[in-house]
Amino acid sequence: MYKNSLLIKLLFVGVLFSSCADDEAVYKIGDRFVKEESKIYYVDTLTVNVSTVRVDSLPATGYNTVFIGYQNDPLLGTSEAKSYVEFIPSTSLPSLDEDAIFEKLVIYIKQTGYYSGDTAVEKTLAFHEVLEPIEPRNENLRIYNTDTFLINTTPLATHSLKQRPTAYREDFIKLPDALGLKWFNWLVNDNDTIKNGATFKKQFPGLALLPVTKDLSWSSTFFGYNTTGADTNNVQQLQIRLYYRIRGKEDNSYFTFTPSETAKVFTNYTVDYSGSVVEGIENTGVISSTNSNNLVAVQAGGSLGFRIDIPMIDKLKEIHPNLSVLDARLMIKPRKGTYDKASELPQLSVYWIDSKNQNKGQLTNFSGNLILSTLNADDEFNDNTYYSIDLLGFILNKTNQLNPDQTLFFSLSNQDNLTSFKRVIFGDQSFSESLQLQLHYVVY
Amino acid sequence: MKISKKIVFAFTILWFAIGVAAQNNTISPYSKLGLGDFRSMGFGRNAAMGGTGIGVRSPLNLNNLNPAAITSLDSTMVIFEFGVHGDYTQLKTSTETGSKNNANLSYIALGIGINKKWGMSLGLVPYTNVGYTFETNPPVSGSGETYTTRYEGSGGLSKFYLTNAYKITPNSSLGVNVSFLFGPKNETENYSLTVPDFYEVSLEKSTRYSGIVLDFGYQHSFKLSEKNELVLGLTINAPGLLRSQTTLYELQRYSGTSFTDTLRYEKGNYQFNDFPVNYGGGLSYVFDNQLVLSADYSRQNWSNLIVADAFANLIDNNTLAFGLEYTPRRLAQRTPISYRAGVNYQSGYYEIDGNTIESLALTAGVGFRMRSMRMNLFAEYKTRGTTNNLLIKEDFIRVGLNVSFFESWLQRYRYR
Repeated sequence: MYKNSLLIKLLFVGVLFSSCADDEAVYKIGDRFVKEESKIYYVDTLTVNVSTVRVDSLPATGYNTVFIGYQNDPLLGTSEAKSYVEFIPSTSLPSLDEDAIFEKLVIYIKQTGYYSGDTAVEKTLAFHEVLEPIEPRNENLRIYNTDTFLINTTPLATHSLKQRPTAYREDFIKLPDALGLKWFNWLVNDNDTIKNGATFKKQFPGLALLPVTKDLSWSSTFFGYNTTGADTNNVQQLQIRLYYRIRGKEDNSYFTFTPSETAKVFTNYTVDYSGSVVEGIENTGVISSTNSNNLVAVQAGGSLGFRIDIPMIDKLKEIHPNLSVLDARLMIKPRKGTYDKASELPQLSVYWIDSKNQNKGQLTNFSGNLILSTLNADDEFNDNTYYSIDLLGFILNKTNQLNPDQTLFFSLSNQDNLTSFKRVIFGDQSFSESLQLQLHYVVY
Repeated sequence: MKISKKIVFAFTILWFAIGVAAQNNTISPYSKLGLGDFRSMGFGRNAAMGGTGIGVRSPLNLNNLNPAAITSLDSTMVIFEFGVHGDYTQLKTSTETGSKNNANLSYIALGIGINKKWGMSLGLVPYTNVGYTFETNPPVSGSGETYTTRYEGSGGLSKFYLTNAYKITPNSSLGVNVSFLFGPKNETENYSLTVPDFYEVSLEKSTRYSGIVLDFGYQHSFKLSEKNELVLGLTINAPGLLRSQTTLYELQRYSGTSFTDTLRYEKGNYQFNDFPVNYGGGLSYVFDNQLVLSADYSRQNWSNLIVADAFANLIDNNTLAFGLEYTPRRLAQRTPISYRAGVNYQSGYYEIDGNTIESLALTAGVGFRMRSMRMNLFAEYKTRGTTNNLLIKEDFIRVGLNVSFFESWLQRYRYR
């Protein structure tokens, strides 16, 4: 009996632990084998109406970039960008006596290659003295891209240059000696004006940088400078330098004035839409694509974007009551011929807006990440260049009848809006395969 | 009564074991259809003889294929049996081949010869098996792309039966089985697109079945001579009742997150379906007490079984099986060994797109005694289905062992 008991025990143990199937191979089987409980459908023929919307103004600071230029766009009018910068003196004051000799006051600019336009053409910009404090004028305590400040119409200096893609050259633009001597004397006399930024700003509220060259061709001109010392030597690209020399010594030295703070560096845009496809938008704020040659646009400076309206989206559930959207994408193609290089097209940002075109915040996905466009760039033929944007969260809101008065607004990123001349022009659904809402849904 | 305690203990352990192990006794995609894969080859001896047993009697082995067969047990004899098996399954589609191994408990059963005329038996056996994982790539309606539907299933129905059989004459027996069917069929369908950042949809369906069936069996032995015997057997069941209740969840989950949303939840009402009348007849011929030839025909009228949501039609299945057992007499009469073989053909109970899924099985086995145990080993090779019409061909090998412990409870009692 002992042997038997052992055998029984072994059998029990064996059986209890061997009740298993091995690896989980998955077989592909013809779909006629089973009848699915649910089925997935695709539709891309829903009507999507689009309108260009002009954003009145945007908070303009926070980008540490001065951007100066002029653009003449045959479709979207002329844009002019001016920048305002507030300066403060360096806090490390040299102790100077009567042996110090004033040499010159210059604007120091270091090129970074951030440019656009014809590199062979010499371009000119002007530096004007600002005559009033660069301060926010509204309750939000932010400076907006439409704000301007009083300037001396006679420039302190002008500067002409040809830009080169890889030229990291330094430019020194001489300012009037009268201004330089005034500041030098403050320095020598240890004047409070030079020791205290707040007092200095009252005497010298800042510089305005204006474009002088205004090309009439589409080719735009601009300059961009970073004001937070992004280069390898951590030198700010835009400074004012006061050069002096000590009597009896060969070498000269300089004292710097730097942009005061992020909140006091901004670019002002003025856009003239006369003759453009969106002429009149400065008054109406919105133009349907049917009134703008079936085009809509996103544009920097003027802050154009477009809104979509999907009349049938609330009724999607009426197609089938047991319908659930699995995936929703907006496919939109830039109009061929309105851009140079597909791969350099800018990214789009997506916002909720209400019926009065008020911004209600950026669209996020279920992971909480901001929804951004994906650009499929076809540089070779430009035939298949399109943006794809994940609109699942938006469509689910709509099919569940949440936020009924809200829709989506597409624009450039704020950085592009406030420090570039980028723009993209899209066609509406009157062009074939130009604009589609692509839905996958399951019917259960 | 020592043996009884042992048996009760073993039975209890195995009851729990089978409850746990009853899951995923198959990997066949066909087990998605209907109630799952039916398993009807009988216990060890019968399984080795092509699944024949309606007309087979044995004093040493339990036979669950005919309720009347339990009267062949010697009176005062108690048999406890259990079976284990290992499976190797190869699945083939027109483009793919894969295989899996699987091992599990087959059944547990107890037979008691109450007296010379009355036999009793009870047991727990898998009745159907559900276990599959496969994918299809159906087209998205309205576009040229496809999506992936992944199907997973588990569960199956178990059968607990209690048999009473009585010798109405010295040569003929009548038996009745009360069978309780119970168990779940759990199915998941997962739909996913091939784009990033989408909702995937999972449908989780669980159907709990319970049912009761009465089976009747009759066997008659014609003693042709001292060592030659012909046994005729018949089985039929009374229309049974099968109750089911389906719970269904449809969930959508945002890909890569735990963000889920319940699309629907339905707890169905109880559904009551008639369990169809199945019947069969069998013969066995015992020649010279050495050779047994057996043949069975049975018909399962599954077309009358309405199972909710079954895509494939269940159709009537005809089973035709032949078996033989040869037990050479040994001069020393130490441990006679029985050699068995059989063939089993089933016309198929699934009809998919006009294709019936036939199966053909070849079996072989041996049986011998070891002290107070009897061991039956068997092997089965079965081929089923076709790779035509995007269907599946299965090649299935099962190796099984069943062990019987037997003891005379009366002798024990007397000796005490």
